[in-house]
Amino acid sequence: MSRTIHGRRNRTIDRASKILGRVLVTCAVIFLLAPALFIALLSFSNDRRVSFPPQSWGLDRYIAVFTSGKWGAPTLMSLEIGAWVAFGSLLVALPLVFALKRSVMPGRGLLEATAIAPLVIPISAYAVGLYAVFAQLDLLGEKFGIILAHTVHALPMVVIVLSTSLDQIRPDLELSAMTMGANRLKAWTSITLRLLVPAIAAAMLFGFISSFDEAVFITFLGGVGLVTLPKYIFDSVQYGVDPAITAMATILMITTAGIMLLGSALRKDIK
Amino acid sequence: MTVSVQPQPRSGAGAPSVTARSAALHIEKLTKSFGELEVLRSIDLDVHAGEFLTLLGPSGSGKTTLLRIIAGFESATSGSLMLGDVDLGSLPPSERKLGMVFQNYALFPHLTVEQNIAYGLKLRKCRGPKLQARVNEMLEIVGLEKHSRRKPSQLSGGQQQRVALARALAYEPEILLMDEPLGALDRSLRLQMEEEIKRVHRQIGTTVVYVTHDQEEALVLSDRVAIMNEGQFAGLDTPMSLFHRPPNGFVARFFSDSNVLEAQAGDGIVHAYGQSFPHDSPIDGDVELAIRPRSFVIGNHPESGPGLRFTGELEEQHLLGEHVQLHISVPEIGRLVARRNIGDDGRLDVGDSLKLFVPASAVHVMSV
Amino acid sequence: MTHVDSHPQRLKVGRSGPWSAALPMLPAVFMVAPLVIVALLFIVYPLVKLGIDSFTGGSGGFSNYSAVFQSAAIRNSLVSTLLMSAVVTVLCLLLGGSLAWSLSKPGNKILKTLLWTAVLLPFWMGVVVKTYAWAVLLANNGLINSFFMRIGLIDEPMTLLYTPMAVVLGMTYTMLPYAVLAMYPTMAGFDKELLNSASVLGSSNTGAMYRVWLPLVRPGLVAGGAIVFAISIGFYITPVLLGGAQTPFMATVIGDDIFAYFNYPRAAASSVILLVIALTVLIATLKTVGVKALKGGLEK
Repeated sequence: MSRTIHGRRNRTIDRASKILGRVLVTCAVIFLLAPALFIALLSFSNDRRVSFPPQSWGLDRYIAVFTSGKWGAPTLMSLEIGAWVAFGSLLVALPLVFALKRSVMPGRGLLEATAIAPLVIPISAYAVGLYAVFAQLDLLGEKFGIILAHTVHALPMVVIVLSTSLDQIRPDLELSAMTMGANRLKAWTSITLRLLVPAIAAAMLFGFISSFDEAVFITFLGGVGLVTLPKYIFDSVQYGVDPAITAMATILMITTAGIMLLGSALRKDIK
Repeated sequence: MTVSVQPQPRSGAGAPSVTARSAALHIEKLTKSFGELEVLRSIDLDVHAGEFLTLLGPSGSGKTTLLRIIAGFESATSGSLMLGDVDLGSLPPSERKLGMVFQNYALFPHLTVEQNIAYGLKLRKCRGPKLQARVNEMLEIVGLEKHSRRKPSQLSGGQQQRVALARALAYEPEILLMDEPLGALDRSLRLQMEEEIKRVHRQIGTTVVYVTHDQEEALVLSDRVAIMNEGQFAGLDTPMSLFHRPPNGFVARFFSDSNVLEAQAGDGIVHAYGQSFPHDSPIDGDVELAIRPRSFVIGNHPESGPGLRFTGELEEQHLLGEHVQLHISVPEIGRLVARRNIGDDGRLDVGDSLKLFVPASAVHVMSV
Repeated sequence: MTHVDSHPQRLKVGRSGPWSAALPMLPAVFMVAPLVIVALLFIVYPLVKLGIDSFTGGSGGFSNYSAVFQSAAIRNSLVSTLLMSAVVTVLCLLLGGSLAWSLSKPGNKILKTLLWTAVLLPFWMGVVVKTYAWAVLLANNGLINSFFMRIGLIDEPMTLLYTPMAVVLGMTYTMLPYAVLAMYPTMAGFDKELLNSASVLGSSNTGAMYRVWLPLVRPGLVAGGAIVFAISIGFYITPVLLGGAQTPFMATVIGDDIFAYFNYPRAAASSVILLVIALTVLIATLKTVGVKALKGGLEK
């Protein structure tokens, strides 16, 4: 008897918590999807000002992005910096992960933690520190300085992608190549690196995106002369309202999504 | 389809000339410790040219460590390791002229079967038609001609193991090392691969050092077996000798599933459990007796002649393929393991009282 | 034979020492050198310099720190930064936990794809783009105000932009994917049979979740929360664009100190305070849940 009552109460609690869980998940999904969909929707409005609901529809904003001539320079700047960062972070990260995974040198854990640390250092505080150092080194407002800062910032992601992928390549393959007459370098280049190619491509894509989307370092370290795409959007949003931003944001969203998906696919390709 | 059976270097292989087939592995006073833990204790071993030698032992006995030291993946703590008159100790694996087959095959997933086999040959500057000829020859030996263009992931486990074998033998290594190569295969495939490995060994004649924990594999394949226990050799001999005349209790139990009993010997007489029988063993004092499960004569009819007689109670019996394994509890000894053929007359039930007889000729005397 | 001698140590004195499968020290050192150089110059040195400058800049000593705490504006923004970051952390754990749990359960494939897309969407937008999207959403003539005015709930547009709530929403939006991905492995690794066995024993599902599930996934939650909080207190773009001048946030204050008031030493002191808070939270987390959970929270 008491068991039935108990059971009924349990069922009520369960139903309530189930509903609560559903509501939370639904809210979260709406919360996550709404801004992106909203911007994409507004980018197809031909209104003079950004307002909702749009009065007219069309591609005016996309045309503006490509014809106004304002977006070209910052885009090129971002692409150039992003490409350097992709290479730079790979140059630091690739030898690092090989040393971490294939040697028994002491302090490997500390080195890995150091490489991942920029992920959890409060970025504005870190930017102030870099500001002081760059002032000393005359790197403020220099493209090279931004590339350096972005490289450090991209490092955690690049190291994580490479090291989790290298973990999946069994050392037996290298040992096997070595018994067949390959020295260590040959075994690495002909087997391990060859198998790591998709992960390297993924790491470079993620490094590129990390730089391409970065806006804090450029604000603190870029001076007045250097304008990347995020910086340009940031300034436009802060000091005025250019409706073309909705179109640019949509373009960026789709490009970034495409690159990230490609990167994730490449990462999974390793077997 | 003519395959050279002579264990001599092929002119087409392009491998460094390996004329001295007498080259053998000589291991002396080899030890290996990981910190406090002694994994190998003063190992002495000579592997003869062309020999198939198996390192057999339970897990943790040090057999894999020994193989990895021979391969060069790990360095010994002390001792010497010579291939002919070359000191292998300071050479990297790539210069040891060895071939290795791994338990998990370790095939290069991005290369085809052909390219896997060609890998070692290419490193030896073998090119063009010579390379292709040698690759084809190896494919033929392991019967994978039809799969030459496949990737390893498209092959079955047995086929992958064949590629691994062909790949390790293609460049004619002085010694082929095999690390539990059949461990990942199911039983019927394992039996088939045993035959295959035996055939290839006969055909090519390479010296083989083979690691396994399976005594059947060791019995079938080996010229000699080194039985390892706690970092030492417990026995090193032909499978037949180890089976029939185990040097000690460990080998008797591990290799032939023998019962090991305590006894005393002196003046050609063995005394055990109040019984005695004449024996030509030269050992005196405390001894151990090894009795294989098949050596027991079971039944109520009296047996004449010298030997040991016990009476016990059948505790358990289970079917083991062709025969039935019996666990018999004997008061003065404990438990004995006996086997009888499945067709032997007389039905036995658990709880039955059994009379056991071992003729003196089936008792092997070992020093303790 | 020549080698039959009493040199059991001969392997150790070979011409180049015994070969080992592990990469030798020297090349390993060369290979980590780029990281060490970059880290020393551009991670360690900036942070150390920040600390030194905060004590030696201006009038030196603790003057910069007292300047920070004497300014009501900075005090307020420090408090509101911590509060907003705490709210962001709670929201991320709550929403992220529900999402991670739903994702870890077997279920409808299409629904799952939708969930994953939703979770990863913020990752696919640069921080400026997503902040801009929120600005447009929350503007006086944005989606939310238009919607509520259309259904007649309000007559005048509400002030949503340039409020602490806007900052919290924007930051949560950015951090939610991190939280989900940090918690997902723990949730996926959780053996759901445990819940069944608990409810067989007479517990309600909710009770079972509370007693069985929560203790097991707690390390993941704590690590995820700590990471979200540490990153949140450093936010710059989102508070500037969504909070404006009306909503005080540490990063805004620091930026103003440098670029508007040219008071770098005080900015350094404020930065050190943020760093110390982040470090304290992360070290405390490390002590409670261990390095494994924290590392798991970072590797997505």
